[in-house]
Amino acid sequence: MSGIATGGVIFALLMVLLAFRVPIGIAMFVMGSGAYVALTGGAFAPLLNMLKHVAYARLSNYDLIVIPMFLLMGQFATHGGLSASLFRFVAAFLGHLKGGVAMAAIGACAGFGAICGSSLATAATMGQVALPELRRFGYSGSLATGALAAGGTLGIMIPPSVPLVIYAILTQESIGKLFMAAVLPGLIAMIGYMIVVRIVVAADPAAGPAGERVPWNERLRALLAVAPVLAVFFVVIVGIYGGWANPTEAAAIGAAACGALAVIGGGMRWRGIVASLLGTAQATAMIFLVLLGADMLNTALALSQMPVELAAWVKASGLSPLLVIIAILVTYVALGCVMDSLAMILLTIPIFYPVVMGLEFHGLTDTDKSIWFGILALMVVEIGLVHPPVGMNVFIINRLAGDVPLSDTFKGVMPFLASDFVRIALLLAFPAISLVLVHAFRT
Amino acid sequence: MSSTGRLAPDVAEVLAQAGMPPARQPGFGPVGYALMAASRVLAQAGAAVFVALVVMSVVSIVGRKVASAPVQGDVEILQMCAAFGCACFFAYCHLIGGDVKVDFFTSRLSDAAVQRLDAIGSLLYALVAGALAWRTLVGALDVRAAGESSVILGWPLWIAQVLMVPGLLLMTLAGAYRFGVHLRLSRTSSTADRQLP
Repeated sequence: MSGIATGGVIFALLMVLLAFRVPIGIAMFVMGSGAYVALTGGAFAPLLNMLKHVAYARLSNYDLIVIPMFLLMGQFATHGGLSASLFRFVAAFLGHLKGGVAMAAIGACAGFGAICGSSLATAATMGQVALPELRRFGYSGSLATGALAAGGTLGIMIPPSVPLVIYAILTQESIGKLFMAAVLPGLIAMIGYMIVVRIVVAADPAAGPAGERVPWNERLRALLAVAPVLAVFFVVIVGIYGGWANPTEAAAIGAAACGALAVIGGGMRWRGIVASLLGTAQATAMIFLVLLGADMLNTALALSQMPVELAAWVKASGLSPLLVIIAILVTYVALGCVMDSLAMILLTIPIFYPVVMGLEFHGLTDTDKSIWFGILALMVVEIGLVHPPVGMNVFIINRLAGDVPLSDTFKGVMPFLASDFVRIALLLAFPAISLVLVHAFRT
Repeated sequence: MSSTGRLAPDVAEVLAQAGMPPARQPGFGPVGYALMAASRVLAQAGAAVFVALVVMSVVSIVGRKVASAPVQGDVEILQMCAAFGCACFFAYCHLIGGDVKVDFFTSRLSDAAVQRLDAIGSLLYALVAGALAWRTLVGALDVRAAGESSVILGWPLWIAQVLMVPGLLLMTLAGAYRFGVHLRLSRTSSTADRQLP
């Protein structure tokens, strides 16, 4: 059997397990183990040997330790009240505009995304802070929940970002470069969402009335309250990119700084600390279980030669590179209908990455191409968080709002989704959007 | 809300994944809550290890930059302790239903059918966890027999690996317990197909 056929069988069986609600990591692990046994001649000894060290090797991997560290940092930010001061800060500057409170919620999501690498946590945290305010000013349920669900995706688009860390590890790419490359597209995403709010409000002024104008001395006080958050972001991102701390060290510094801010400035006490620890435990276990499964699956896929054969086949087929990458992006949107973003990255990057690297895009060098594709993939998998039917952010915000029909929230998210597609098209046409900062600060 | 306490499709699981687990787990008895308590303690201990690692890393970085005196073997300590810490997390995540799964194709099945599928999922979970616990223990004993130790500090590596086993064993028990719960609930839940919302 050819590698592509073997890989196809593995994937078909995996999809069956996934459709039957088997936890994604476990489904990958079981399929990976089964395929490994089949491909090593039907004997169990090689598998049992490999299993002896797979857990320790994965969980003690120095590069992966960055993930629990970033999660801890985000948990401290979540339970330390940093979200409230971020929201007050942006609202002080934008709140008096039409739709300003929704724009403030989006801006605060971006700020929170700068210290938190997860979209669900960003959506949940900012939702709790911003929804009562949006309600107070009489925002429509669909605009309020739509803006927050979309804004939550800024959590992974603006670095630090857990999916980018995973991409970096899978492709041996530099975490620092990927983080730097994500900054500009993340800011464009934020501005795009704010423009959407303006358009929605222009069409229906009752959906987003203006808030109160805040005097300058209060604005400055609000700025002072978020200055440490911005400082943490710069230390972490510039520290990694500038090379004076490796990602794991920078994440440790960020976690320590956020912990200190939460205890000193945010009044986090025992209850908040325990909640942060449990939140870190849950999120880490959720991600690492998928990682362990993906490890087994990718070992089996590599044995089957499927990724190499597929890349060679696509290259030889003479298909236009643009067509190939659009097909890949469409696959992501489709997979996003049923699957979590991290699982998608882990499942597909080992297969799609060699394909993309074998093609020619805009005359990019290999490094530039792999960074650009990483950001592109991140943007596309992230929209799975807001589009139907799964749209985890939508469910969370809708649940927090309590009284807004789910269909209203999905309707409210649609204009933001449109801006996502525009941005993805822009990035597809102009890789420079992701690469300009990487090149500008090359050391 | 259905009779088993399962919320509308996704929501309970989505909330658990966002760090907001429900206070009660449907179908849990005294054993379940005892397991839950044990895995909460273990998860907190594991996360506390990470807090300690954060402190150590900061001390090491500051020491290196200021006095050229980092913590000796900081990378080794980080790796060995992280493996233990992570292994402590899985049981808690599974018991609160925080694992990622695909809900799309089954969201309109009856409660009983979903419980049956979840029973299969938890059974596979327990089998994988059990295999990992068993093989990790065997692997640790191999490492001890080979007498391997870490490069800088000379700490025995088998201890770092064997410390993962309790977490993996609890993970196995968590899967086995949830298997039983889902199996029981599948007999008592409604068999009517779910309607569109």
